[in-house]
Amino acid sequence: MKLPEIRVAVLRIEGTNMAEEAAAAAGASGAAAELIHLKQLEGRCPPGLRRSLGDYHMVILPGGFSAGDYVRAGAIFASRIKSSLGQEFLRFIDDGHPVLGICNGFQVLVELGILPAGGEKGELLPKAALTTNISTRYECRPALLKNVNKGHCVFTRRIRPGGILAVPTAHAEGKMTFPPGKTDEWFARLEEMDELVFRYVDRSGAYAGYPWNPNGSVYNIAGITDETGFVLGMMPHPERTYWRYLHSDWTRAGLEGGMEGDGRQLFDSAFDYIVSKF
Amino acid sequence: MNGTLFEESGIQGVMRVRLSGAGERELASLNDQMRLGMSSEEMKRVQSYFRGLGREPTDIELHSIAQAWSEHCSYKTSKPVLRRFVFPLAKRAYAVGDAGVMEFDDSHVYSLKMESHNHPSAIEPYGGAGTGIGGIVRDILCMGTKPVALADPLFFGDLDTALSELPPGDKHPKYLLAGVVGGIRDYGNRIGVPTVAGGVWFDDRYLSNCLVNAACIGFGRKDKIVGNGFRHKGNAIVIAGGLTGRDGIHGVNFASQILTAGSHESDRGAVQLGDPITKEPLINAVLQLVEEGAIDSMKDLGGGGLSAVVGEMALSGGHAAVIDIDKMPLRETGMLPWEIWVSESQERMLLSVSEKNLKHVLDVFDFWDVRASKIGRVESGSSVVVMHAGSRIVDLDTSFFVKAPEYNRPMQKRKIERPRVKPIDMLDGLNRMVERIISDINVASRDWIVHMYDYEVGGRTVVKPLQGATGTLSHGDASVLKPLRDSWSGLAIAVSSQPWISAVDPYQGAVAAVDELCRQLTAVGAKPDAVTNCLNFANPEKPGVMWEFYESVRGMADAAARMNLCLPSGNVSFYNDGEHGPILPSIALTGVGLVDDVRRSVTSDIKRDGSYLYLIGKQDNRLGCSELSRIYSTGDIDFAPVELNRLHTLSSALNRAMSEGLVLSCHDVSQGGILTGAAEMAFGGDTGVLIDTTDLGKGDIRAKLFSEAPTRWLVEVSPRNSERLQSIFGQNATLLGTTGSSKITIMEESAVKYSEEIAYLRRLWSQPLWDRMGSS
Repeated sequence: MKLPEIRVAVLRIEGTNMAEEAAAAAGASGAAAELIHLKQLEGRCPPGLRRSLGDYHMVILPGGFSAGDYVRAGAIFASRIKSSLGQEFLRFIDDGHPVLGICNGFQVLVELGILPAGGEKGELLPKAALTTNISTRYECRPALLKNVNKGHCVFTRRIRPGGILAVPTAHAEGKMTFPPGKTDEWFARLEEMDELVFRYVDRSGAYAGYPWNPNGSVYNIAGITDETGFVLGMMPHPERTYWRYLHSDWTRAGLEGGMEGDGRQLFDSAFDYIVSKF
Repeated sequence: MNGTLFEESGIQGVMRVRLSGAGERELASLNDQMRLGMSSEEMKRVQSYFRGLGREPTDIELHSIAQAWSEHCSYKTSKPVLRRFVFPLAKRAYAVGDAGVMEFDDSHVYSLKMESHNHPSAIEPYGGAGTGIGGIVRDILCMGTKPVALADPLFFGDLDTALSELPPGDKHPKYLLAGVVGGIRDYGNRIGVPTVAGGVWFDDRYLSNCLVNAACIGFGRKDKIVGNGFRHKGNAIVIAGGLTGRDGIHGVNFASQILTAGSHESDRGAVQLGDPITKEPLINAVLQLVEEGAIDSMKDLGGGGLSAVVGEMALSGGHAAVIDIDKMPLRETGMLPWEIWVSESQERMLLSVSEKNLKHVLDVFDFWDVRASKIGRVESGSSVVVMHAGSRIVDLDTSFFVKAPEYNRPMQKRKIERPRVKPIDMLDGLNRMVERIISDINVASRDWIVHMYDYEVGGRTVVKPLQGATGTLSHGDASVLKPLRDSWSGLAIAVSSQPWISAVDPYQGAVAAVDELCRQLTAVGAKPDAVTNCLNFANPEKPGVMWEFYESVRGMADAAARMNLCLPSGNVSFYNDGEHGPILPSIALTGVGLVDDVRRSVTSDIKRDGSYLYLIGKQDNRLGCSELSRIYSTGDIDFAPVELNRLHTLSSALNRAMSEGLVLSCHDVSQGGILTGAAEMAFGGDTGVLIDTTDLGKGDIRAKLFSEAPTRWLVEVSPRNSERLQSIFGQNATLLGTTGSSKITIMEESAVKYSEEIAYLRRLWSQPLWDRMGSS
């Protein structure tokens, strides 16, 4: 299929406040992005607004504070998806459709049990958690990510292995946390299955502590994929460096190298894949 | 109290008040009992109004009038002064109303408004600050513009205040700062509006009454701007958003009195409760309806609740309104009609909608799960009528009810005593002085706060509040937004205040605040365009305070006029006084500048080794009201006043230099003088600087480095562009030194006077807030 035929659903509920930027990013890459309220997939809306997952090739779960995040971040959005879409959402992924969960969207994917996978299909029960930042508070910060994926994830196909991207973070609960005593086991499993995608690094490219690792995530994990490679959940916001002039330090390097920012490569990678697959 | 003044009206929940026969003492006692907060003259005026009508008022009618006549709603003290100096400066506005609307380009506008939420924040900092954001966002929304940025000037007491020194009832500044920042963070971040600018000032005189000012900037299309009045007979009046409860009753009266030790407990009920997750869909729904042109006019419910909004919309639109109070969606049962009418529950908007569009409007709110109900209609005439259980319980002439009597309160000029000044020779040497100033709480890094705000949600923040290399961010002067996808034009946003100069000379303090604002906006490459303000003062019934207010307004207006700045909106907050005494007169400004091309924006961080560093502006070694004089308690109040002509000339010249691409980095010289400015540039760029003070003329090197004389900038220029820069600025450019190395080095007459590693100074500068506030 051709790039302009790709239809992307940017899914939101109340408090999902970063849907427009995500849709703008997908649109700027050439796909047709639509903001969809979960109600429209559930049918709780006037008939003309009814939508179905089958209408789309990709879903973005954007950032924000879905339902206020007054309980665990992402928990309410996840439970609404579970009860209304449930298996249909899993089939959508199995059919090869990319799903990108950014920040709150990553929290939703973890609450749904889709991430982390460790080679096994999710059963819609959480296996890990994104817990409160090591700083104990919400923080908005620039971050540097190293692409550690070896080719399994469809969102990094355009990114050089080991390449470093500037993609900022903005969250209170982003510390990847596994069940007590299982951290090393999980990390090894994710590495073995090539489900690690991004890890936080410092200016020199080395793994470093807070604030380079803005939340204290174990093994500096910033983003992971599932057993299919079609899903990417990440705390940093690639739509926030879609353009070079949104990078926090663009006035240092200048804009002569072009307007494309580091975050754009994730969107373009996914669309390359969709164009070749469907 | 003579209970016989109240009698059954025959209508459930409504009392009739026998006002006509009441004497002075009975009026006073009625005023107290009903918490009306009116003066005895005002009570008599109300009495004679009803005598003229030949009937007695209901309790709800008296509450309506009292709310509308509060200082908070009516500006009865400030309006005569504002009318004289400020209102003429709104002429360039595209529209005025709940917010000022300014032209951005041929088809777009931006809007701006700032408001105080001081008293609620002093009592309940988290909720008070959050609802401050909520209220200002609604002001922007109800002009038909989308909220795109927030900015917050905040003022607190000394963070190191010992608990034993805290006046009775007052809350510790650390608790207030943590609560206020947390409230702004959780509200602003949740509704997805970035907080891009701000300022925090610490002084003992804010101990009993912190100041929390919130500004919002909006963006929209010229052809979608919505008015705030009832203009069309037959329109439905619709309330949308949160439910109405008992929170925030008498909030405006509470805001119009000084805080006492008892306020902290007794007035908690006057603080409203915010709910960002009702607000976020409300914003989406309203913006969709604005886009569709389905809303005729709207206004947000803030101080004075439904009563104030219905009255103001009726007055400004020249029509009557009939409200059925029984149709109001309530959060709790048993509320009396007057409580419903004046409740200040949050997240509510009042809309005027044609009957033709009504169903669609209600459907759109329903889609977003926002409650909306028709509660009345617009009629011809000039009254506000409220119906309850089939009876008319309010029937007031709109202009009597909404237009409070105005006051020309007496003023008294304060005598300024020139204290004996401690000479600079008696103070610390340069080394120790640098360390004390750079680590002072009023100079130190604000990153503890800034990182808690989402400053880039929306994807428009091209220049962020913290600037520099990743990992070594430093203070910028202003943020820049790029509001349109297909245009390089931008908006710069900055905040300023000069309370310490205001305390000595309120006229000059206001001028200095405008100077600072213009410096900050031009420092990123913007042309200053419009200013919104919060004018925070103590009790205006004291002639000295009234004089401070008058002089401040006059100074702000003079400076704005010279700089061709529009003043399309603003806010006045009086009665900022408490157990520890009155606040400093505090003019807080939020300014917006226009950026021709955001790709030319300049940030404060030094970009490379081997550049030249210039001082733009005129050096003046006076130290009055400076950081240095405060830290060392020198008592020096002899400050260098602003010369507005120079500000105008140099701002334009700097705009030109930046549009030619000459400037690599730029930072205004403000608190902590040249040394602090240069250090902040070095921190962000992680690149040192060598400064030679010889060419700054005669004087003590400490005065040269720490003077806060106005209208000065530091700019980094490539050596090959230095000639061009000098030809633009002439005598107003002084070569100070060069960039490079890992140190900040100061030389004079070929001798090194100071040299220190950036990394060491950065630690001193970045730790003070973290050390005091921890990770709370």
